[in-house]
Amino acid sequence: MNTKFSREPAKAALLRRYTIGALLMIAPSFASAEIAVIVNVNNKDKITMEDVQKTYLAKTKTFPGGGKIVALDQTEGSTSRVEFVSKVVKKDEAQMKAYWSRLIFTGKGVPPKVMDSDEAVLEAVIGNPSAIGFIEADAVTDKVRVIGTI
Amino acid sequence: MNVKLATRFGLSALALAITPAHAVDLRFDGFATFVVGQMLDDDELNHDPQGNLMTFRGFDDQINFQSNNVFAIQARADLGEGLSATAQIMAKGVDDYDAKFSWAYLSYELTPEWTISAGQMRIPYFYYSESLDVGYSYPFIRPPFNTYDIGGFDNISGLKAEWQTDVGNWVSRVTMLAGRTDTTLKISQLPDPVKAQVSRMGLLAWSMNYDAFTVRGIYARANLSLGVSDYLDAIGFDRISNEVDSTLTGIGLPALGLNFSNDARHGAYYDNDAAEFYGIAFNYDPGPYFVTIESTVLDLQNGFMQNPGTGTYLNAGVRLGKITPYFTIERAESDYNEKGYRRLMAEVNHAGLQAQYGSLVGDLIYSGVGAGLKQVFVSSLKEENAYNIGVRYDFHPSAAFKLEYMTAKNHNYDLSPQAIAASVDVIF
Repeated sequence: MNTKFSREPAKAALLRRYTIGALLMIAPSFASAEIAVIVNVNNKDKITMEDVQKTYLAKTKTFPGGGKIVALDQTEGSTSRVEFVSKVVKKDEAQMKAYWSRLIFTGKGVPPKVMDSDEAVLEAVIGNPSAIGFIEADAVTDKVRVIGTI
Repeated sequence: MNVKLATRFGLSALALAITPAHAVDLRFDGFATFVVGQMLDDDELNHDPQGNLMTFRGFDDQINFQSNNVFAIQARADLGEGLSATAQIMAKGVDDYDAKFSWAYLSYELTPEWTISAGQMRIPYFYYSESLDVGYSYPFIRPPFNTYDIGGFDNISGLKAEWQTDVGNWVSRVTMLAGRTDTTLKISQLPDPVKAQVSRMGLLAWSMNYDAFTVRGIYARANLSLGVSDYLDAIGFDRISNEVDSTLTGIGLPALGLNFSNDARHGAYYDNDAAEFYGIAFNYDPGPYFVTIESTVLDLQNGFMQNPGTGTYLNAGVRLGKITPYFTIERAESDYNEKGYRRLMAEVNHAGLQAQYGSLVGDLIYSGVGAGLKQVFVSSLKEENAYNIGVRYDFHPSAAFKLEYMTAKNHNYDLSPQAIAASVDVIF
């Protein structure tokens, strides 16, 4: 290991050290922004992250079991939303906006209802068996079912 | 056209929406585009038949702040149980901001897969048709001009059914639409707007999406009528006949009195004639970059205008954070209605002319009439390559700035117009 490392060109070694350093620096903020996708406790459907992605792109309107989905969004720019859009929907917020602008102004879809906090999402999901939402993983309680954390 | 109806419908939708007894969810969305642009050299422009200098994509050699601007508000009332009413009011700079209902329709979600809509709506000819006016939704300042030129028949009153379903890992969306539209159109070859009607339109579009990849095909047919017969008689057929006669009498020969039959003249008119449209589009947009290819054919089976007209473009771009450089190359071609031309020429008796006026004058009359008729048919003939290169800058969560250089090579007139434009597209 040591010999291998010593043979590494100086530039690459520097780059590697720098990258590790950078990762260490941003690691805490990543940890705090872990996102949980939640549904009502009575929802027993097997839901994948791919299903969630499709839901937030209006490509699917029903849960795998056939029930209608009521998707919940969060305020643009909030930590939960930025993370969710990038990790689950795999777009950035501007792309998401351009994508939805096509759906809204063609009558093909109505964007998910925007809730103003993790607590509001939590409350709505507890109260609605059709709801799906996302919140920071720290905010999860046992009154909702977590279908995935990312 | 149906604006009254649309207004009444829109108002009743609003009235419904504000009735407190119903738990109605009312949602407003809006978009706006502000464009400024200028041609680099107006020597590269054509004159229309009235002698006015035409424009290139709406631009001329003066800085133009207005003609491409758009401002629109859309209201959607969710009436519950899958029923909703949508109305969009749009003001365009090119119409002096005269606000009009661009669409107003009722939608009913029968099942999560099936939705039916009735009212006035956008005809989804193209990949970007339904968000045609929403600059924010696409990379370029305007969609490729030649491909997206459908002569003003953008909206229709009718019935639409949409069926969205999963096919394995693909999402399939089928759109069926039937309807008609009555409107007035400005045709560049004619001095005044003419009455236009599309009736018995049937359209079938099918798109399949898998992850970042989308393919879309469309077929539409309709009957087309345009109020151009008086104009074509006056500047086409009767003028040709008069010019032949005045030339003949001017050199002391008897007038010919050429008079084309109604039947032959109809070859140049649009009188409830079949029109077909088909197209295919591919889009691949994994996020860091995107590519769109679209190709369309408009086949008017009669009439004096381009026939058929085809357009194909390729657009691609790279997203570097908030900056998106992009380019488009486009090719448009159209043929002319040779059948219509030949039917008219068949009524000019070449041998008879030679017998009556002698072979020299007979030949001259024959070729003169042929050249005159050809002008009627080929005035909108087009063979053009167009290019643009630009950059989109998402400087705000709800606004994008675009800067674009556009040029074209028109092979019919050997012209190469160029323009630079900038736009700000906003949604709210």
